[in-house]
Amino acid sequence: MKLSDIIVGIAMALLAVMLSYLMVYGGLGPIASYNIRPLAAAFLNNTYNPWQKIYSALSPEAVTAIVWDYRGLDTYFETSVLFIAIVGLVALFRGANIVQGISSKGLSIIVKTSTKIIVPLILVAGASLAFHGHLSPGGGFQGGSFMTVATALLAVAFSIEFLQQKRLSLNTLLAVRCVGLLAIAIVSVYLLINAVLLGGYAYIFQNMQRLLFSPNSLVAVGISQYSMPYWFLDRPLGGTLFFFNLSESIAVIGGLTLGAVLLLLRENELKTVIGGEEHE
Amino acid sequence: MKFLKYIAVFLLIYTFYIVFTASLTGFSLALGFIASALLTGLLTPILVQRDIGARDLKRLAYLILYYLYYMIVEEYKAHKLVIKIVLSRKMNIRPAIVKVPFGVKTDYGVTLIAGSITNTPGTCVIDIDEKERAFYVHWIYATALEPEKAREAISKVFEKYASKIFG
Repeated sequence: MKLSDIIVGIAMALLAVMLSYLMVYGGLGPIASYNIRPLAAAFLNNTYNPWQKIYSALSPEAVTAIVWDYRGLDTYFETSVLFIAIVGLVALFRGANIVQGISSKGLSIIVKTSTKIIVPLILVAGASLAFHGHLSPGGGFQGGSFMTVATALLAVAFSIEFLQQKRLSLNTLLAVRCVGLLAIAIVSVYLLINAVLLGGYAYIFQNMQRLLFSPNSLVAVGISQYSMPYWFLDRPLGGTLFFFNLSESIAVIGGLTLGAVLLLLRENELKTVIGGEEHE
Repeated sequence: MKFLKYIAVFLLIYTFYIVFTASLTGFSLALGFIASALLTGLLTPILVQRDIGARDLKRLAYLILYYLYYMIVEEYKAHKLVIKIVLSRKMNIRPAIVKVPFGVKTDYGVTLIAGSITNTPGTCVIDIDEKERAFYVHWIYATALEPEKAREAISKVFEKYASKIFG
């Protein structure tokens, strides 16, 4: 018997023991203590609570409410981190661009036709995930990634030259990304600007009415009455949550498609970029 | 009519959206309408090249008929053959790659035939030669090796319908 066999056997046994531990005790650590549980109860009570709008995000989906409302600033910086990664990629590939006529054939006619039929369906399914982010699991990032599958399929099946012919060049994709991020920024300060212009008070990332505090104490001095629309036709809109999800999906489809296209660039297009200079 | 093809593509996308979301609330119907309309405007020129009219309803009827026929009759026949091979004790196979010419003109017709061949157990399109208008098909029990005879055995039915549906 070899040593590797013994190690694999012990690893399998450990995995089985750990999985059964997980199933029996419901977690790797101790169950949350009683003094933490009220936090979860508070989120569940206030996520959709039309009678207590000052604490509520008015969205039935607690995860989205936490991600885009209760810790909205955090999520904004997460999005910015992804944007910085895209900026790094663009900087690395600076000067490279799609050149027409290198190998524009793409895959076979069967793959092309099937892709053609399935692309609009993928896009509309991704859009529905982004629209319903505040009502059901899903959201802006998920919807945007879903839609990126369609553009990536187009890039592979039809070649990236096809994307450029359809006016989806690298600069356009970067512009789409920037428009999405700008829309997130505008939504996050919309109520604040509104309040400043009307002479009132509001917070950044404000969604519904919120309690106003005096700057030096924790005593509520009133209520900021400004609030985003929270109802559309027959379902809750979740105020900023819907607009954040929509903007995020636009930002994600632009950014991820840009990344995919950059990584699909051919050797001829990259020679000047990655070749560098001749050193003696 | 120039707008008919837009309406047809819109109906396809919007129906898929409603089935995918499985919700008939005004909220999701309204937003889905906007998204489907946007996608229709963007993608119809890529999806449909020629104008469509009332005569295409006949083609649609053929498509539905073909779908039922294919799913019930052809799939059953092909499954029966492959099940026999799988369950028999001897390896009773004659694998070969055969050339199967096709006569349809449109891309959608070619795709329909190729999809039908691949989807039936036992045969699988592995390549297409667009200049010679022929598929290369892997066949698990080849009864004929000549292109025309293979066409007779593999794709004659599919081709008949594909030329009626897509031309």
